[in-house]
Amino acid sequence: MIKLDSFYTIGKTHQVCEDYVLHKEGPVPHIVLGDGCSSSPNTDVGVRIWSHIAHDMIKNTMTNGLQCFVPEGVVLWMSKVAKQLIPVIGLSSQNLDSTIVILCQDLNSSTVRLLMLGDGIIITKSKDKLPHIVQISYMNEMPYYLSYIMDESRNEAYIKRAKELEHKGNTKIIHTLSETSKVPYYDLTSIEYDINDYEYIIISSDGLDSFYNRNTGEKVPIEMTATLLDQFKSFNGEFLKRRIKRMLKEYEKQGIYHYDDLSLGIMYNECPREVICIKAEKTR
Amino acid sequence: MTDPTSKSLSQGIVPGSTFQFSFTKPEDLGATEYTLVTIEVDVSSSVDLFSDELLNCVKEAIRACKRSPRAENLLLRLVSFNTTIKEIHGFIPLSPINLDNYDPFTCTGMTALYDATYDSISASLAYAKTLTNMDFDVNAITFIITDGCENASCQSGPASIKGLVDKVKKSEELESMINVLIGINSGDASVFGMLSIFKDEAGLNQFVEVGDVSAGKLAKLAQFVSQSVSSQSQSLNSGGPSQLLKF
Repeated sequence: MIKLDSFYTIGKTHQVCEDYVLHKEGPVPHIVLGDGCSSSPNTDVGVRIWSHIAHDMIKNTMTNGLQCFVPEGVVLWMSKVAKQLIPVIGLSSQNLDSTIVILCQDLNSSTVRLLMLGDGIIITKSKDKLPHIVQISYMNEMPYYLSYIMDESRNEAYIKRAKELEHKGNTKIIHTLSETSKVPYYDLTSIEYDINDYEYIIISSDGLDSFYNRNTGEKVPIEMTATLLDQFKSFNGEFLKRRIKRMLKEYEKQGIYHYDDLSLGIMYNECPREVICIKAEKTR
Repeated sequence: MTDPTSKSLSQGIVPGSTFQFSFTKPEDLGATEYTLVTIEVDVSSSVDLFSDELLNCVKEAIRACKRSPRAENLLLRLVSFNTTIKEIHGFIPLSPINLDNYDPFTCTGMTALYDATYDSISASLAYAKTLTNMDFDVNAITFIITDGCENASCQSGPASIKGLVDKVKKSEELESMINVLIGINSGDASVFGMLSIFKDEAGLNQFVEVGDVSAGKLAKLAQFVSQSVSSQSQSLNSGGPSQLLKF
């Protein structure tokens, strides 16, 4: 059985929270997370618009017979809907400058698809293993947002700038503990998982890697945060919210704060592969 | 009433005492935070004349709590006491409570007021520790409703209760706790005087004099209880208790 939860909160140095996340059980379990660009105006609104466009897309496509989403199709659909919507409500593409991350289970399948448009963090954990962290970022902190794709002039400006940088367009950085690679900025981060191989998959904004010790000025390694986050006491109801709120309190006692907005969503699998499930009596 | 020994509830013992309580297993709870509400009701023989009205008052208070926007963040324990303490049900969410299932109070015996007060505070503290260890945020509020003075306790007194209240203040398990002593229907002013002294000696937060039992007074008491619960619940994560309400 799949359980979902999500959480978002404002960063210490921010006036408005530009992160957002929602999770829904139906028609298939899915999480949509957004991290608005803090140097663009009103992205707190834009990130919510994107998230609900994505949720609506999943709801409509899955109930109309589609078994799963196709990354390129998602990009086209979402940008089409946004293009129609934003002039009506007096917004511009700049207000939609935001990372969007979608994690969605296929209909009647154990396949889970992840699509990340922009930057962010993915944490996966298999049974009896340490959390595995993948960080997606961009050189010069210039994520390639979906809002650029829907605005030709801004897209051209971005491409020109990306090609001027070192690595000439290979400005997207994929970092794990064991390696760092650079890929083209337009490379869609699209990953398929078999949920049976995992206890959980977490998607997060880059705010999860923005913890600093106010007293010492030292950055807190994301591995430490992921390890603390992994100490779930139970998996009922708002289990992620409970864990992260407690983690934030423990960090606060040490003078550690996240300076960027923080948003996370978790897809938890009660019975990962090779585990014999004893119904109702299995305790963690 | 829900059988506190049913499989859905776990049993706990307050360390260093014989006080027992039952509680919903943390793994069965879904929210991030809870207010533990305890209502301890005097069912000594002197309450017999108005026991039905008193039960209706308790039911009305719980009914109002069920309507609260914070209803899903409340866990309620209901206890009756006379010479001994009897748990009607342990800490459970409000939604499964069927008020029609509460049996009429059987009013006999004397008044173990000190033991009842100690029981309510210590059980809340013990359960709060269990919940806090499971990442829940917790605060508590207890109501001890009595018509008379202590004359039957054998395990505690004002000093030990005060020690427990001080322990709660220093604990990290409970963000805050409010303990309200409620005096009803004593025609003797000295009884209320002694209850007021007990409140101070035991370090309780508030003593409420309801006075003579009447439909209007008990309805007002029910409202006071539910509003106090709601206020304390809303103060969760504020770092301290809610303001005490006036009766």
